[in-house]
Amino acid sequence: MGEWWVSIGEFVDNASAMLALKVCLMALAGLLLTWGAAAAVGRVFERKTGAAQAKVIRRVVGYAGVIVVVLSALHQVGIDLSVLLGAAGILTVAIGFASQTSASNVISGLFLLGEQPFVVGDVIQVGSTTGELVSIDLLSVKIRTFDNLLVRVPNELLLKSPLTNLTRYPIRRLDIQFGVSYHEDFERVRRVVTEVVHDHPLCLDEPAALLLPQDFGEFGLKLQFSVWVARENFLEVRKTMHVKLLDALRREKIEIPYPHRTLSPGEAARPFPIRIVSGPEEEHGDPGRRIFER
Amino acid sequence: MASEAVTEHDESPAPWWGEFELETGHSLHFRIGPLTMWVQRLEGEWRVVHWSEADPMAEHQELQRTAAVLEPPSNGQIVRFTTERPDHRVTLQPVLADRPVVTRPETPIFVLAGDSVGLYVGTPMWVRLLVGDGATLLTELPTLRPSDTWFGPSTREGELAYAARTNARRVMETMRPKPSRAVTRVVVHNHGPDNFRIERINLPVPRLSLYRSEAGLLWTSTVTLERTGAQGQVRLDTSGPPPASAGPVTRLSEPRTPLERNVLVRALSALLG
Repeated sequence: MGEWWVSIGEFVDNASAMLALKVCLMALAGLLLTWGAAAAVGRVFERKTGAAQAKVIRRVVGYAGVIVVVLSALHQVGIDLSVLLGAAGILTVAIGFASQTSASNVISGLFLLGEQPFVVGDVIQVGSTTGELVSIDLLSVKIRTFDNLLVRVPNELLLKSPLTNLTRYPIRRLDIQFGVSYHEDFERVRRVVTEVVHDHPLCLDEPAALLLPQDFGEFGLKLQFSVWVARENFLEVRKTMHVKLLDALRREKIEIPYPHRTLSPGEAARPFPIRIVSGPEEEHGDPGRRIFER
Repeated sequence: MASEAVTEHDESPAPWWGEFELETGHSLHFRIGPLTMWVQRLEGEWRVVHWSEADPMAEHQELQRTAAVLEPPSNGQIVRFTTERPDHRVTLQPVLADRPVVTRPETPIFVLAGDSVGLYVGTPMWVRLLVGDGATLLTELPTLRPSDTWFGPSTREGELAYAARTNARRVMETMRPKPSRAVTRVVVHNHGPDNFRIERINLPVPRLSLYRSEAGLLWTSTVTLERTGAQGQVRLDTSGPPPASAGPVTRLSEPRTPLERNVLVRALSALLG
């Protein structure tokens, strides 16, 4: 044990020990400085731009600082950096080819952070995924869907594809498509559905609800009813509005058409033989008919 | 069931708010406008039951204490607050709405250049329920939940407000003052070079104080809007007391959103439309 210790002592002479100590202290100071600088820059950006941007900037400053500290340390111990940097250049090209996707995601992430189409907490829709944005990272964003699944969407995909932010503006429009029979009075239908909005405290009075004829459908007039709602009440109104509309239309005996089929055997053929029988339908009546009977 | 009517009237202007002592097992039952609320003091808890009548224009004022816990109706919402404090005091407090209220004159009004107009607007009251000597807030409910509305130049800019169900009127005598509503006098001065059309007014209710007149009516501070020029700027002053026509008044509550300065210069589009 004693001999081993002595040999170590001989191997590490005073000068080497001093150099090692100096390098260690420099590296430690450099890392502390980097940490402090990253935190300070992060704080400044957090105030000016937002938490997500500050997080990325903090990381960039941190990584850059660590690289500088490592290179300085190597330089201090006498390693020729030009050789290392040359090797690093070749390595960078190799890594660059290998990590094209990651680099593309990082750059896309930086563009997205600059553009700021969303912030953490927004509800966004990308492709078929809709959910709350839980984090924005260098390579991807994480979305929590409403059935509580975590979806990771690469930044590159976000930059390339159309993205919908459902919570950017404080109010939203809820569109409900339905139809009414051709013999209904359109103005009466408008009055009835407007009354539904008027009685619903969560539907906005202004911008006013809009009933828009869309098309002459196969079975009736196709309509779109658009109601404005505060963003936070959207789900609540969506849950109840269809039922309230249906109730109001039934109460006013306004017919919502359902598919009718007329069967014709053609000119050459004989008519269908029809036999009238009494049964439960005759006794109780067709529920659909009874509801919409005028 | 012992029942003690504290006040029960439709005509008398006696206030519906105040402080009440409730023994354990007793209930306070009151109806203000379309809102009915029961407050029950039970062992280790306060229980609040409330529901609203289908008719939004229903106008009741009724207050009753009963020495029994009542069975809530099926449409009543029950909220329970547990406590270990031996408090028996309930305070009912009238407060103004927590958002601005958008109101319309009976018909759109033009204020001539250099002229003024005075309007009266009724807004629904909120009931604040506090318990104990420290006045701990239990809950706050509107006597009538007004419809939401949006007030702003576009669907991107603006603010969420309540829509007043009643029109702004020029003559106070045509108003029907109710115990569940506060009346605000709005004065618009047009110092601009042209006539000024008022279709809607965004009344900054959370910035107003609440007063009670000797006649028993609820009034708010007077709102003065001054159009200063052709530019889209309006000076808003919410510090004025209720009008002289209200008679002597006593202040009931401070504004929900206190203002450092009572005079604000705001974009025209933020107040009038």
